[in-house]
Amino acid sequence: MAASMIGHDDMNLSIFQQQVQFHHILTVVKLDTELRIDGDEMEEVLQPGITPDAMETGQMEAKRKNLEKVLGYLPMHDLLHSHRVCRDWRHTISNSISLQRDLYFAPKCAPAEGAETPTVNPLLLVKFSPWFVEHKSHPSEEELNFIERGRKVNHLASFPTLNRCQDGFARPEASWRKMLLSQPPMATAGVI
Amino acid sequence: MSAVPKIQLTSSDGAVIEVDRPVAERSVLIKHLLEDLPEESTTEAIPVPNVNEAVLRKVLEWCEQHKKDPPPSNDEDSESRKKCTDIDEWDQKFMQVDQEMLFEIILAANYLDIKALLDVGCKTVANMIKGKTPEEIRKTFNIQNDFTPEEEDQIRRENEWAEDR
Repeated sequence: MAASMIGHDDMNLSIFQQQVQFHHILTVVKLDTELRIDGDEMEEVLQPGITPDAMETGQMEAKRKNLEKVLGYLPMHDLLHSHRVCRDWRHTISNSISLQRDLYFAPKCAPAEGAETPTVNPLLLVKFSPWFVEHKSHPSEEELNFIERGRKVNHLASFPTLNRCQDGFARPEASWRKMLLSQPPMATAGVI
Repeated sequence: MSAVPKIQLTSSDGAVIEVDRPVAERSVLIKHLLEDLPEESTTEAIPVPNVNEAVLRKVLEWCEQHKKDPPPSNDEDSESRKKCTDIDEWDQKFMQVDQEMLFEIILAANYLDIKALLDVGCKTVANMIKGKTPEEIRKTFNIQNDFTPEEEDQIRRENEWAEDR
C-alpha cells in the first residue's frame, strides 16, 4: 500500500524532524547528485505504478525546480545575496539560465519583434546612478548638460554610494564587472 | 440540472476524500487522468500517493476557493508578471501555515500540477526571503551554512558593492 512508502508514519513533528524537512526542500542539489549515482539500480525497481524510489527521484527534481522558481521571484538585490546562503543555493543560481539572466550575467534573447525597449540593469542603475542617462536619439539641452557634468566627474569619491564602500566596487572580483547593462543587451554603442 | 459529479481521492496515508469533480479538476494531473479513464471507473478512488491527508485537504480547500477562477493566461513569462509577488488576501491567509505545511503544499501543487497554487506558494517563500541577509535566511529556514569561511568571504567580496549601507 502506498501509504507506508512515504515515511510519514512518525507524525511527531519534533524540531529535528522539521529541520530535516526544511533542509530537504530548500537544499536539494546534493541529494539530487546522490540519487544520480545509483540511478542504474533505480531503473530495475521501476515497475508500472509508482515506487518509492521513483517518487523520491521525482520529488528531488521537483524540489530543485521549486527552489529555482522561488528564487526567480526575488528582486535582483536579494537574488545576488542569495548566493551566500549555502552551496546548494549558489549551485542553483549559478546553473539556472533564467536566474543568470535575472542577474544580468547572461544575455536574454532579443524579442523577435524588436519593439520592446531594453530594461536597464536595476542594480547598476541604483549603485551607479550618476552614470545613467535616459537614452534618446535627440537628448535635450538639459540632458546634454547632465552628461557634460558626468564627464567632469573623474574619481569614485564623487559618488555618494561609491564613496561609502569603495573597496567593494574597486575589487577586481566585484560581480558588477560581469553584469550586462541592459536586457536584452545592447547591440550597438556610441560616443557622445 | 444534475448534481455536481463527485470523485474520491485516496491520500498517501490511506484517507479517502470525496470532492466535487470540478474542484479536483483544478489539478491538471487529475483532470487529465479523469479524461483518460472510462466513465465507469471514475467511481473508484484515485490514489494520490505523494500527498498525505492533511496536505491534500488543504490543497482541496484552495481548489474549492478557486474553482471558478478563469484559466491562466499565457502571458506568464512577461517581465511584470514574473517578478510580481503580490498575493491576494484569501491566499495570504491560506498560506499562514507552518513552514513544513507550506513546503508540502508547494510540493503537492507541483505534483498535482496546480500552477496557480504553486505560484502562490513560491511567492510566499520568496516574500519570506526578501530583504533578509544570508544569515537571516539560513536562520529562517534552518539551512546549514556549508561554506568554508574562505569561500563565504570570497562570495561576500564579489557582492559587497551591492550591499545596503
